[in-house]
Amino acid sequence: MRRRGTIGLLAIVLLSFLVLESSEHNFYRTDYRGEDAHTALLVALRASCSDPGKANVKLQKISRYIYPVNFLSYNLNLLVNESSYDHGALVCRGYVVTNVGKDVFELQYSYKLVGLKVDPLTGRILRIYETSSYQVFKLASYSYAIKIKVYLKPLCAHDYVNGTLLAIKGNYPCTLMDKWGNKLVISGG
Amino acid sequence: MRTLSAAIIAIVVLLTLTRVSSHEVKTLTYNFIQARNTATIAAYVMLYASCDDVDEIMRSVNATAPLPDYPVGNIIVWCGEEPRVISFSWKR
Repeated sequence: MRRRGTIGLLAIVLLSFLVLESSEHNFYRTDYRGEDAHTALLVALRASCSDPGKANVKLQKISRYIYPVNFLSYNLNLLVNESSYDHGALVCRGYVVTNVGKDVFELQYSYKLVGLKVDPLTGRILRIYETSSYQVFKLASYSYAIKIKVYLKPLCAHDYVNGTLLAIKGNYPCTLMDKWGNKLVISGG
Repeated sequence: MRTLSAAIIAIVVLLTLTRVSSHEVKTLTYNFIQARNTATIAAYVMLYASCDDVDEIMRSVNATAPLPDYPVGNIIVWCGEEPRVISFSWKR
């Protein structure tokens, strides 16, 4: 009888322990995966693409805001920055290593000449370009990458053909700029 | 002996319940879901926002100024060389 009582008592204690454990588990097991901190780091890289040398200063400036993620090292390169009359591209790629893992950022802007057209009103030649512009973010805590489409604003006289193709008036160079200040230049003819 | 066992069991169970209930497991879980959501919203806003249109994008995701009793998220946008930190609350 006494043995049964002891076993029962032990079982109760064990059960209580399990309940506590699971509640503690609930308490600490948050679904928070540091999305904001990792994104903040990658956004700092994006802001540095026009001048990769400044990335370190920018990352240091935000490091106190991203607790508990610690940034350990980074790398940022402007891999391609070419522009000519018929094609051009801007590729900026970088990563940040944190105590959680590696976050990767990539920016890919490009254009290519697909044709010429005469403006029926003025008789001037329009250059028709196809542009592609997107950014990719891979957060360490996610198994997939996030790809976003970016609008490049032409800083010159322009028009759109079929809503997507860019028509540039005249033979002057034209700068395409995203809202974070990264520029892709279309050379003049 | 039996009374003693019952007393011990009662104490253990009561202590466990007190500990668990004082953690307010449900509310906390709910808060964590909300915190997760503010983190996700913050990430979304940061992906798409620049210094000029951050307010507009915050409005479009129903983010408000920090509210008492709601989880608060933070976003960072770059205005030139300086980071601008904006706090917000978000409610499902």
